Amino acid sequence: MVFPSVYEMTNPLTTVRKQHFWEYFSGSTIISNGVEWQNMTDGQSASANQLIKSGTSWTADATGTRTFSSSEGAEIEFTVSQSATDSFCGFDISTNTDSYNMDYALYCGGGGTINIYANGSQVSATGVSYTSADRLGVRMDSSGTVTFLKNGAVFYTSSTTASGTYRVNATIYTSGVSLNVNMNSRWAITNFGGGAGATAMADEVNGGVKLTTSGNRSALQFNNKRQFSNTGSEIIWVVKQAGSGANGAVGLASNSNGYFNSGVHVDFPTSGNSNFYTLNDAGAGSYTSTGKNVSESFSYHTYKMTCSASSQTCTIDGDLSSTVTRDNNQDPDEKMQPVALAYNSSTTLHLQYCEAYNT
Amino acid sequence: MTKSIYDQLNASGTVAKQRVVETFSGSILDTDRWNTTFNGNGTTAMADEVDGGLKLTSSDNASGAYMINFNDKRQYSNSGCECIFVGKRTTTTNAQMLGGFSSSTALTGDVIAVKDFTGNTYKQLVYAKNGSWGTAINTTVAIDVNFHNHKITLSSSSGTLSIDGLTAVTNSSDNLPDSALQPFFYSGETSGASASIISQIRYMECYNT
Repeated sequence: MVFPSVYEMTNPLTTVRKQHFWEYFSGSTIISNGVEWQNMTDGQSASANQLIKSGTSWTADATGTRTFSSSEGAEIEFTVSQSATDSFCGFDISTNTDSYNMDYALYCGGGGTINIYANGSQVSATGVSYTSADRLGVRMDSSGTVTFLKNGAVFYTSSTTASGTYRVNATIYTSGVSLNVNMNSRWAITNFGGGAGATAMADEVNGGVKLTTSGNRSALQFNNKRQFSNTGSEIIWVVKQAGSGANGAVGLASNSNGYFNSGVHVDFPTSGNSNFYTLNDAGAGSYTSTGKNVSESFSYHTYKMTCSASSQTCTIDGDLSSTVTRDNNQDPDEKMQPVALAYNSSTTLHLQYCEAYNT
Repeated sequence: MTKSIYDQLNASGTVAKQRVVETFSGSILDTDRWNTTFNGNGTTAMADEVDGGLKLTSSDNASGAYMINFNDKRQYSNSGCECIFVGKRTTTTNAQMLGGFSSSTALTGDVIAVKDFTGNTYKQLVYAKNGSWGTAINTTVAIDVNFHNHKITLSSSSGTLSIDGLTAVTNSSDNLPDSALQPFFYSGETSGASASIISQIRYMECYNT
């Protein structure tokens, strides 16, 4: 049978399709997004996500169009076109257009090193060098903690916790210099335990995207955009893990901290059987063995988890492995988002496919 | 046996035409794919709501408007294309939602779209050619703030709007688009007063036929 549309492959046109997401993890990188610039002044102009300066001055300004709250956080990654020039890029309260007086600014200095500024004053001369080849970043996590990164590694953490609504902000001093700035993607990474998570497309047949962490917990998720129902949704992950001592998990959850509160997940422990967990928003819940030894998690399998008003189920490769009857005590009780988790630095999760939908 | 998506959408021996599918899920809008145009700034944000999709909020300036489009990459044929989207107007007063095809990011060229406007009684099929708007055609579906499935079918001789799988209206007269098109979704203010207008979209699929 040939369908006229993807819509009609899964829904008749007489029904209004609910939220339905899928992703084949393939391509150069996981989906990224350029910053869209506005409020550009004093010689700054934009071409797509590239902000360009004409003339030298400290009073130029530009802000991103997207706002974000300190409770949802955001991350930017940028490159500067020339080393040893002067430019600022970071986050500022959304209504501010006051040049480099931004709340959290990474300053690429003319001496070839990075300083951290807050509200126009230097708070740290980090001594960290930069060139036009480096990927520089500023990250605000969902607790308002702001960190500064070079090539994915944190080199400075602000002592001031963010609170309020922010935008990306940039000021270039040196004429002819440009910044290419991207914001966090469809997928966001949250980190715990002092490490940093990372994704990279695998250069392997059926390799998918690899999720790793240098700490004790990094979660790939939707940055708390929770569009899937705790009483009527399904998620399918095609995943495997790699690495001696690997410990990963995939599922749906309300929070983004990798604990899968208000959610369902399959966990791949370092030994024994994989388990199917259901948890409420306070983290209380239960688990049942899937009956699959964790050694099987080192090959790809299809994990499908279903949340309904009466139960949560898990099937592996089409076979029902676990059912938990809803007792309104230890079940998902908040809206949810897809989550994949690397628990430790020995873990590489290969994510090949994810599909989530409300039923 | 593994079946390809291609084979489920295209009969054997046929060559697939241009198609795009967007599910409006994840952390933020894919702005590599989607361009935003606006009057007086505004924002887009994925809704932290079950089935919430993408939320477009116009600025609170008078005549504020916010729109997503393909930045004038017009790959859909005015003589044979379809657009299916699930969207809604969320704001209840002085607001309109538009969704469908346009030849320009300012809606100043060719357009065929569904319109839900608080000043009307029914949802409408609207259309324009070279900036000249034809008479909007009322459907029998009342305006509301609920998600609906809207399907627009455009051929060389007519434009048809279906809502929730039922054919609503057809325009086979004049002012139909005569140039290549891109998809768009729009949320705008209509009274000249200062108010932010919200509309939401959670699915859009466009393809040439």
